[in-house]
Amino acid sequence: MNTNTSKKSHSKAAQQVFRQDQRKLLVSLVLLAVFVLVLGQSAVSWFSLDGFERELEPQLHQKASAVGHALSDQLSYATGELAIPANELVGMNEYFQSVLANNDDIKYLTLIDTDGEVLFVSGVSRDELDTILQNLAMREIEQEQFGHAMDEYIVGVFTVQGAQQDDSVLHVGVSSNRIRSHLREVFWEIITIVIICWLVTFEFLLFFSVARVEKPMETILRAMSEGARGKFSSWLLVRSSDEIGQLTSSFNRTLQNLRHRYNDFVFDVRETQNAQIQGEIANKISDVHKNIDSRYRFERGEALQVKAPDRIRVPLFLFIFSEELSRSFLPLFVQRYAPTDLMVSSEFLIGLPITLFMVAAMIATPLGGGFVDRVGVRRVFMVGIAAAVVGFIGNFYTQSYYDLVAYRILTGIGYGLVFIASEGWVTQNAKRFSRASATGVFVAAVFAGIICGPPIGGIFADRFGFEATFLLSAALATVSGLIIYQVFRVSNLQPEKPKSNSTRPALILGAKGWLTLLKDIRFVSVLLFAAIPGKMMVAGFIAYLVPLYLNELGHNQSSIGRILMLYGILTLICLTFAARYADRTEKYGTMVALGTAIAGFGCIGAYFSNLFGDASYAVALAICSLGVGHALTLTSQNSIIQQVAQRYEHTLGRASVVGAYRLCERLGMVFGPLIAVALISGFGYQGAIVGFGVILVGLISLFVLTNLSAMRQGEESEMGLTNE
Amino acid sequence: MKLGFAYRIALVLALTLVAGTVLTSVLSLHKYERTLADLLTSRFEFVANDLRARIETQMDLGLALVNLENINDELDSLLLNDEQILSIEIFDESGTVIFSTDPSFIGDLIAENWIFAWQVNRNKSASWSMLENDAGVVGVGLQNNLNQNVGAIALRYSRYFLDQSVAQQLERLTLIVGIVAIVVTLLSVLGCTTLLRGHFQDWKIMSEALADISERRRDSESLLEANARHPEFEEFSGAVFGAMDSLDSAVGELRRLDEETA
Repeated sequence: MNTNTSKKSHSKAAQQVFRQDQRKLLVSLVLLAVFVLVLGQSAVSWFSLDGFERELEPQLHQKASAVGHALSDQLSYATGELAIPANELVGMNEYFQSVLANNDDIKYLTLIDTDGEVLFVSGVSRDELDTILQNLAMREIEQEQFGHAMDEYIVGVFTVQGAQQDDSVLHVGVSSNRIRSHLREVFWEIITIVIICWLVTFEFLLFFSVARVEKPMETILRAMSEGARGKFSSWLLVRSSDEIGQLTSSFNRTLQNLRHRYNDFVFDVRETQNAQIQGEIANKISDVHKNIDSRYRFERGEALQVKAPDRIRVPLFLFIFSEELSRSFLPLFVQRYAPTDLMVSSEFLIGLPITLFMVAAMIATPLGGGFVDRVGVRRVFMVGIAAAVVGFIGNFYTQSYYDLVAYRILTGIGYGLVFIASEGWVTQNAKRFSRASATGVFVAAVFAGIICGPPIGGIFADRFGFEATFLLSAALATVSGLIIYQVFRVSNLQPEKPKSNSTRPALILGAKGWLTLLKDIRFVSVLLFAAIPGKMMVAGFIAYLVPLYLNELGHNQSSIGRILMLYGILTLICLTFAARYADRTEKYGTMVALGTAIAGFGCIGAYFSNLFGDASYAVALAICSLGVGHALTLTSQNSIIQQVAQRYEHTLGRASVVGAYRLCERLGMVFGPLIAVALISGFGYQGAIVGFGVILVGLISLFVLTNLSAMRQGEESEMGLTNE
Repeated sequence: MKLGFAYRIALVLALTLVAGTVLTSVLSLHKYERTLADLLTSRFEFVANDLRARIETQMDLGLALVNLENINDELDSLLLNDEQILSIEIFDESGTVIFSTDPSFIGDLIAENWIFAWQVNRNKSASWSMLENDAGVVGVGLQNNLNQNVGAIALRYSRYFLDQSVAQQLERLTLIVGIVAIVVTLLSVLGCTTLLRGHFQDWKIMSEALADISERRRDSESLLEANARHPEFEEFSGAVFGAMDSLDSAVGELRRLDEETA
């Protein structure tokens, strides 16, 4: 007994050491990926940006030349043919101003006489002009050293002929800002791609490291540990042809070999026993057999399957990524098809497909959950992906607003089914004491998709158009489906059969169940004051208001995508830390309140947009606050709901409670765009952001009020779990 | 062909990184094309606007567009001064060309998409531009001193320079991306095999040791090494040998009992 206990603790220690090794391996691979990625992207970026700058600079010279020749011709006509002295020209400042007003890349114009005295200047002050002229003189001396570096101004110098050899000189300063802003945009796009590539690489590495090494090796170690205790009945189900697969095969062969020996022994026992006529000897033979059976177990038992919720990570990431591709431009895409002859506002028509998508996903999620239990994860997954793919392709061929709405609904159904199927997979594969980390896998994949989708979608739409982006979504969703098919084939996962009808989870919670839940102050307060507002912000603020507002502020698709990316990145970064802190302190309610308050006050900050100079910064601040706020609340909300569900495990069923929560939570996604429309119509974009902030702060104040006494007493007693 | 684990990881790594590099290049090239086209348009927009100012000055004197003098000379002079300009047409409100650097176009109707672009922009006194297959077009509207739209100027410039420049950049970037792809792939393979070498060795030794256990080679090098590296493997192998020994002694006991009876 003691030996077995000691062997078990040895096994745990070995698994810990092994996990540490795996983490080290993962970190090394990630560092390798970062190194190679940065190296490759730096090389391409440097060569492309440098080459572009060199090619574009002569074009600025040509622009300066075109402007200079046109102006000097006109001035020469006045000073040469009409013999007006240059310093007596009338209306020159107004003339220069009109030229500058019509050509935003020409930054200044100046006319200088033969003595170097500035006669007229527009666009810069006299002091600035002096500096420019000094730099110009220096540059002529140090021409070689400047090489191809692009200055702030490309200065063209042109002679304006006078009547009595009193020529003057016209300087045309063309700004290189236009090119610089384009190059800056290229730079930011490269940074975006680097971040996305890194996230995608990380997803794949994690998938390989955890699903193909860590989990199979853990299973092998578990089987070895059982073997060390004399249990040789295990066999491993790992279908891969790589090194781990070979090791698994060797392990299975060794145990098979041992089983053969045992079977031979049993055969011998039977033969010898049958040949015996003396009962005493027969009993001794039986004792020998019993002695072996008491010490060892050789019969082949059930296969040890590798339980790896992480296997869902890559396909789920790809699916969410495919859906998120259209996030940055969807309202603009809808705007194209929105009918103008209806008696409803255009904002409502733009918001409607987004709202209906959410409704479809909301209805499909709990229904899909019931189907997962009945027909299995794979089928629900496949149906979901097929619906989404048809929806994406439909959007590619959209001819009218109604087509668009119909296909968005279909995509929403697919989204809901894939979402619940993924949750089903995670639940079925998560170990009892690692549900939180398994859920973390699910949440991380979703957020990685949310981060990568909008910017890439924005960039892609900018280049190839909105419709083509839907086609890309369809292709990625199909790839996701193929991976899922492979994952399920390898895992050979069957739907979990319920033991009896009584334990079979209900498709929809009954009225009594709903009443019970609605009487639960914790459930209702988390749902109404945190979860629904959270989803409302995602659908109304992130998916609807921000793209429209940023577009109005002059941002292009790529830029909108990049700014939206902040939300996902901050959530993903803060998520793990927030979850660990919440688990350590168990102050889930406090975390929910804090996170929602951060999001709310960040939005209210938009009221002070003037302080930021550019309203875009206020939007970015609100997005960042929402990202951090959601990172704090998401895992804590789930923990509270899990604990509530635990309380009703024997009466309503844990899954039913969580299903009810998910269903109600998505109401926020339905109402989000509608609330955004109402706020925008009433207060404009800036006012709408502040309005969202006020709503959040108001609701979370109610959450604190309803939970204050419980929060003071501590979360454990607050949950009513201490004594249960 | 069966790929080892390191090669699989390296392949995924290299594919993702190369895809990222290609994406960067395609987007950069697209941005370059747009910037260059933007610059060219801006230059020819200025030329067209300058011409418009001269024409409108003459119209301010009360002359009708069709009756203006010296316009053809000005158009020819602009054409001569800039070799990238292919043609300049001035058309009236009905879209009929009334002045052109190519006299054979006079009296013809301009392309429909030009009329559309002009009409979309006519009330904003804004310029318009478009890229056609063989040329870029920049247009500006003409207004008389009563702010009535009386026609427009359309300047066509050669796309050759734009296309050639983009093609050069494409060639250059393709070369760079090709080199980067090779380097990235090599580094990925090298890095992955180096990082995973220790693990491979471990797995290989364990596989060999398991085979040795089946063959009951207790003192094989692989087994000793696997036992030394992994205490849990040592416990397992010890248990397997123990089981084998127990089975052997049990079989021996059976035989002894059998002989005893005989």
